[in-house]
Amino acid sequence: MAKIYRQTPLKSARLYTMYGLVFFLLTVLAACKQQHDKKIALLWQDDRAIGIQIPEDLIRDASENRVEHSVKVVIAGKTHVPAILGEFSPDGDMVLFKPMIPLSPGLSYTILQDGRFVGNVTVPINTSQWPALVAIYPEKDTVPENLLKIYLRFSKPMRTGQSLEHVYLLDEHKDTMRNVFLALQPELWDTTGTVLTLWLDPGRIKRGLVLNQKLGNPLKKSEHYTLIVSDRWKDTRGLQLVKTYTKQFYAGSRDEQILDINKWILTVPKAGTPEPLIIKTNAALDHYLLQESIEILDGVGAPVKGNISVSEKDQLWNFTPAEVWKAQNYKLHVNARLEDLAGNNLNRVFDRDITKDKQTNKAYFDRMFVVKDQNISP
Amino acid sequence: MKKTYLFIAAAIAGVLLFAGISRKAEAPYGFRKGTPEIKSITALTFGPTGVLFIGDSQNATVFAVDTKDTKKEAAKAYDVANIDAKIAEALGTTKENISITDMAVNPVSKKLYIAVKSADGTPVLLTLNNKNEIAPVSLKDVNYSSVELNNAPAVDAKDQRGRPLRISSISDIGFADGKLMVSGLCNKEFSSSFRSISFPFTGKQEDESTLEMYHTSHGRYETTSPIRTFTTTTIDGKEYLVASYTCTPLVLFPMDELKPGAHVKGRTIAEMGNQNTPSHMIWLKEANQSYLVMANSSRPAVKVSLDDIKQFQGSLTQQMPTSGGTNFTRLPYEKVLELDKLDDNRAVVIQRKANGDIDLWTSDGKNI
Repeated sequence: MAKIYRQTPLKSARLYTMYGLVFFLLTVLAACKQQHDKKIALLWQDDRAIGIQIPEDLIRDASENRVEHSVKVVIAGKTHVPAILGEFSPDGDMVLFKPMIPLSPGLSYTILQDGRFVGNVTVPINTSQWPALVAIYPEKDTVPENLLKIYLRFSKPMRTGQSLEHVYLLDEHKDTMRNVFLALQPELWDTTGTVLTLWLDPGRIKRGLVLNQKLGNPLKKSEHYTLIVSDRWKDTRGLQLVKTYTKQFYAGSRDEQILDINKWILTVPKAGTPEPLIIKTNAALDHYLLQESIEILDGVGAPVKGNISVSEKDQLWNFTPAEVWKAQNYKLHVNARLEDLAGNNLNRVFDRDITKDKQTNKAYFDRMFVVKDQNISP
Repeated sequence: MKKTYLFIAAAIAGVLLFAGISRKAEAPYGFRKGTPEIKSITALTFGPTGVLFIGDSQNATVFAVDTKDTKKEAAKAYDVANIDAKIAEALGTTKENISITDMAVNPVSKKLYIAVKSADGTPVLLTLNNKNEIAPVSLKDVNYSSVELNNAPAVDAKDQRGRPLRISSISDIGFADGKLMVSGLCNKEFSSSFRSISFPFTGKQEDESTLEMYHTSHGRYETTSPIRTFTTTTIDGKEYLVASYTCTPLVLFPMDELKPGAHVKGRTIAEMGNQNTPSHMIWLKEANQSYLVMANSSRPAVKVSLDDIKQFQGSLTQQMPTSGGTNFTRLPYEKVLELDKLDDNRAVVIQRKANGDIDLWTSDGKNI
């Protein structure tokens, strides 16, 4: 027992040295192996897989010229088809393959060099934030039966060219209405790719036209409708809408008047205050045109700086000046293209015959209003 | 002193010499070298030798790009079944994730240019050679110029937050007699726009023309219906724009009147049926006769002889519930998605077949 006890420190020292050596060797091996283990990876940008990073040491002769001629990327399982179009470039100790379009979520890709299997990579299905339908304009529940357009505003840019596969209008009996929207290619998306303009077929809205007589107005007065935007619609990242959206509305009377800015009700603030000027427009107007068609000019005709907002479902236009109002005459300067929900603007009604119906041809319409000192009673 | 002068003279001579050597040949048509920021490719047409016009609806811009594809080649027939699947495969995806947005034959090289949009919105320009092989067209470091179509900025530029910008979506572009013609529509008002723009681009904004026509299907005179497709022709020595609209009237406008800002009245010469949108128009020859061939969304393609167009002197001013005016022949081709002229007699066609397949083929000089 004593003998054993005496031998232990020596044995332990030897054991520790052995362990140390093994540990060192393993560390060196692991470090070396790590280099070989550098994996084929995806390069991401804005939730899109825009490239494949291939470790150089997986490729025989990673010089640019050689790679271009020897390496190809194909959809997994399709090894005999031509290579996916794209460009190879050096990227540190990797070779980067950038295809012409982002790689598709859910698909696997195979990298080959001169027919030799180099590796596989799968693009995962995106699980980041799903897109949402943020707003439907008009916001009002009652719309004129000759409603001309609907705007859909999304939180993310959506896939274009397929809106009519995902947007439906149901009638009172919950039947899908056919040929209600005007089919347009390219569709009318704004520059951000998030706002779509959908026209209710103008050929059906204009009274007396063949389509109007044959198929009738898309909407009929006193009836209820449901607009459906399907959750099958994907955004440009391949993610579906977070849910199916529905909006119910009711068709009221036709809007068939030229817009008259003199009928608007103005709440004019007092001089010396930064209070908002409020315009009540009598009827809901086009959400986007309302925000961009009206400006205020001062006594010498210069535009007044300030903030514009719309409220009350596009029936109120509010202007908060950057500086206080002065006691002077101001002007509302309104672009003639401002429209109501039926496409009637300041020059003409939408449903007209240009040879018969009344119309003007002005670019702007003006209306004066007076801002008075606070001590002068109205 | 003399030595100094000599040195100066030598230096100046040297500068001139090297200036002469290093001067680059100027790019034609006022082009500059660079990478055009193209957001979408919604329309293609060829202009002067090798110049490709790219209509970009999302940018409301038309780009003119020097393709350097100027070698004259004989036309060979293109034939690719399931062209959408083939293109998708070349791009590393499946056919659900791409759409073909336009197609144009380079009239010199006879190479076929195809514009494609991927599901994420990335625009791609491809070519098909006479062996039916797909190749990419690089738009990096090319000679190009561009013209913007938006001339109606928002009245109020004080607070642009949350406001979608006005776009002039491009429905068709065409080039004739040194002019690029662009038809389009707006995302905010239901309005039509038509511009005839001088090429090379001057950088000056040119106003739209207002085109008035009798809409035979609608039964009234209109100015706001957007032209969906157009071409040009000569009748009795005079140049005309031949335009077609949704629901499908065919209208002639004299080209010499299509000046910026002008109000031009057209002559409606045919009505080809409602609930349809015409998509492309080309001229082909058959038995030495010129025919206008038009592809449609919901109806078969049609052809109209130039002689019939010439002979139809009148103007339709009565509502037509079905069809009428100049004679036209319905062709046995439905759902023609893309159409362009390969040579005088033949067309390249992309068609959705009854079984849903999308095929690319070339006509045999008869009927299309």
